[in-house]
Amino acid sequence: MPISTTSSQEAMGKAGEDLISALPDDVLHLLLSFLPSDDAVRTSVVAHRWRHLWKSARAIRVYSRGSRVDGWTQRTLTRFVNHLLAAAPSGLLARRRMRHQLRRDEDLSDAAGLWIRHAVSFCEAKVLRFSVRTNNRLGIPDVPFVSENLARVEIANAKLDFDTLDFSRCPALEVLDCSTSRINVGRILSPSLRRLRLDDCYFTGETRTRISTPRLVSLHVTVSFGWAPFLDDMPMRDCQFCTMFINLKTLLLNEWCVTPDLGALVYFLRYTPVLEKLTLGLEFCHVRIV
Amino acid sequence: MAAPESGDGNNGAARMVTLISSDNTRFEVEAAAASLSQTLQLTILDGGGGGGDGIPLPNVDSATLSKVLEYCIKHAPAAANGGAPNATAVDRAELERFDNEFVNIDQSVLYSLIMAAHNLEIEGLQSLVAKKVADMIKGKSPMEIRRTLGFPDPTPEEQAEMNAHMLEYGWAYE
Repeated sequence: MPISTTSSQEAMGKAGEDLISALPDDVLHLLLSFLPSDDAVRTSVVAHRWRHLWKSARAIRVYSRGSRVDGWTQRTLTRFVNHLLAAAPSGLLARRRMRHQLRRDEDLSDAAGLWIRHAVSFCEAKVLRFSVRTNNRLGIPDVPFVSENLARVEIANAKLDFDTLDFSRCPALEVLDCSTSRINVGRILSPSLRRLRLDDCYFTGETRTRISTPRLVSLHVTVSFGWAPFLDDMPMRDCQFCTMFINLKTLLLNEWCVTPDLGALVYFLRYTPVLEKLTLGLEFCHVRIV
Repeated sequence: MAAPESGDGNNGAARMVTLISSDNTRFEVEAAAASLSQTLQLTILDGGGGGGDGIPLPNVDSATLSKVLEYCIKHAPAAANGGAPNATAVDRAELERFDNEFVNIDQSVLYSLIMAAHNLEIEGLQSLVAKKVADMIKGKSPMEIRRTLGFPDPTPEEQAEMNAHMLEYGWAYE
């Protein structure tokens, strides 16, 4: 088959403009969706037609600018995202990525709460990824999670202070992944959750975090510090055999399950009828045991 | 190349279809490759494009179509595996290498390609080219973006308008 070699560099210039001007809005929206949002906004200067195109990009991406001269400061980042969200009311927030070198600050924490709320409730995001690298972990304020579409939540390097981290109004939520975070949460609640991963987290609460997730099929918990979470009563308690985790096939437990009576371990073995893989990571025990 | 089943019950040689570009060049390709186009898939499922008939594509010239088909032929086996859950890392790396090489072409060809991918509804190709153009714009000033996209230097009026706009959107330039 012949491969095209007909085009030439000289075809650019005026011809180039004509070509890109010929592209339909859909195509330009797609193109802008691949750009970091600050670059996307800057394209609005290019020509009349581009003025509002960026508002319909299918994703908002706020990346680190690294060590560039115009690297984000807390002020410029907060201003940028706030303006962006205010200016693009119809924008679909498919994804949010934030990786920045910033100092932890109450203002930024408030701003983060606003952005999450906007992403979840207003833009109907399906995936929420939240990771802000700071010297201290960035607190996530008490945001109400209400969304028909939210399917996946990934949080890293954050500080979660919630009485109840309540996803009961997110019926589509299936995956919650929380890593290297400080967790001070009384209860994690989700009737729909299938996969829960709490990796390398510090549990800083006075009491054990209660996990209420009756539809769980996969659970991964590693505790860096503090009280390990407690797997709460499930609605299935009323069943004849008290089969609490009827679908649970993979379970990884570390030191926390080794209480003097091995209660937690026995408990799991009893209520996981189809368990296929149990991994015990017993390297070092520095967890308080009652 | 292995012939992926097109699911139409023909067990022997892979079913071929003929596509006709706007300048009347005929391209014979496996139905599985052409079916990467959502638009063509329907016609092909209905039995079109076989024999002496051929499917006319009045919006796509032969240079662009040959490039589009190069992409489709390369990607057809993976697409036949339904996103290829069993593809090896080597296969994926090879496709990635191909993709990178594939979009390393003149800008005007990129625009024709993305237009064709849009009309033919070839999602992977659309995204591939869109990403390439986005990469060319990334990190550039408005003026550099204009030049990259092939716009001529602005007239004084356009320049004044750009300046006013940049004032209004100061938050994007901090």
